[in-house]
Amino acid sequence: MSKFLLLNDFIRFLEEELLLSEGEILAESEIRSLRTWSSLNALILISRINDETGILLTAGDLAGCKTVKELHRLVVDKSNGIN
Amino acid sequence: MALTNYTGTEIIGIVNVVPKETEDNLELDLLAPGERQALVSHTGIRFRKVAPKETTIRDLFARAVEKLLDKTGWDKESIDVLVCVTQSPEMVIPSVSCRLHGDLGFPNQTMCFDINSGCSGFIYGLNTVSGLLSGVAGRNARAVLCCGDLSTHLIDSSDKSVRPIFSDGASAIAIEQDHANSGITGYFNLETDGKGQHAIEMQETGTGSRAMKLNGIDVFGYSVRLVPQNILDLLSFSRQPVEFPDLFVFHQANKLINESIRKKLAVPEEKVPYSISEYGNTASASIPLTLGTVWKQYRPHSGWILVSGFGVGFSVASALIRFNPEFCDSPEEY
Repeated sequence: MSKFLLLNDFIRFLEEELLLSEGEILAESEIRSLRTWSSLNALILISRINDETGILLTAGDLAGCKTVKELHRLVVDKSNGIN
Repeated sequence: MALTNYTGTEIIGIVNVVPKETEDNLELDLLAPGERQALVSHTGIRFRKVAPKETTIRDLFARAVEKLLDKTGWDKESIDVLVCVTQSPEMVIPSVSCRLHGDLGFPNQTMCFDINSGCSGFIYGLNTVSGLLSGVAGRNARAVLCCGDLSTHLIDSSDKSVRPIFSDGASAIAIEQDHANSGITGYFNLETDGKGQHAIEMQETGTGSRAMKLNGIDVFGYSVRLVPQNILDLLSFSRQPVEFPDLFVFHQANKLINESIRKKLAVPEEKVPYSISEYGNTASASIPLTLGTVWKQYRPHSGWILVSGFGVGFSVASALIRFNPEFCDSPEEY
């Protein structure tokens, strides 16, 4: 989980997985407005987060997050057993 | 339920049948060109078999059963059980198995019924049939198990989340009970988490019709959470280590899910065969169909394989079975 503890590291990870340029994602970026966002990429992202951290996000979890910052918060909270 | 085992019940042969028509996901207009390559590389699904609208699952089952009986040399009079596992019958009443029974001329003493089950259906069918055969006293009993769906008839063809995944196909499996064999020939672990019933379901499309919808993230979540533990519990029940099975033949869901399961079990890649690139997700036929594509290369070591199906329900079923069939055919186009 330490890989995603910092928001900037999580943003780098998202940019790599979603095939976006460095700096294209900001903390306040809306997830569903990202240029390459699709249902397939959402699934790939959930799969990669599970690979890296063991955390399993549900469709409901994802639906509850509007921005990248909110998604990062959720991943951190789940890794700490909060959510 | 349901950790169970059976003695003396073995798969004698497997026949697989798929429609002739093939769709290529790399040429699927529904997806943008960039999406097509990403989909193929991440899901592993390049080609899918698509049956014409006038074809029924009964047509594919009938072809598969006739071929199976021909290859086994079994007389219809000798068949005690005929079970069809499908979720795409052309009509609700009567069952596909009863219609098949009549069409092919099985005798009255052949009992038959359908099982409404999807991607775990092969193992549910195998378990059910094994239980029935083991109860026949005094002689060796025989069953024909049919598994398969025309899933492309259940979906909205404009739905990007399901069309590139689902494919049509059918399998027929010959199973025989040998009372002289008192050894265990199969261990089973069948489970259900009904909270996952909405992950794959028929929904209103808004145009007055219904179509199968799939929530990919939830299917991933249920699969990755439930399947590895189901398999570990089965191996523990059979008192065998994860290294024991020669092969782990998973339902061909998609490569993202199957690889996550494989990695969680720490099973080497060479023990996990795929048919998904050529045949897509063929629901309950996907495990026997995959066996048909790899059987000629199969070199038995322990002689046991692990099969695991998961999906609609949310249903998870795994079996550790002794696998030494007389034949296991690669899919025939019909």
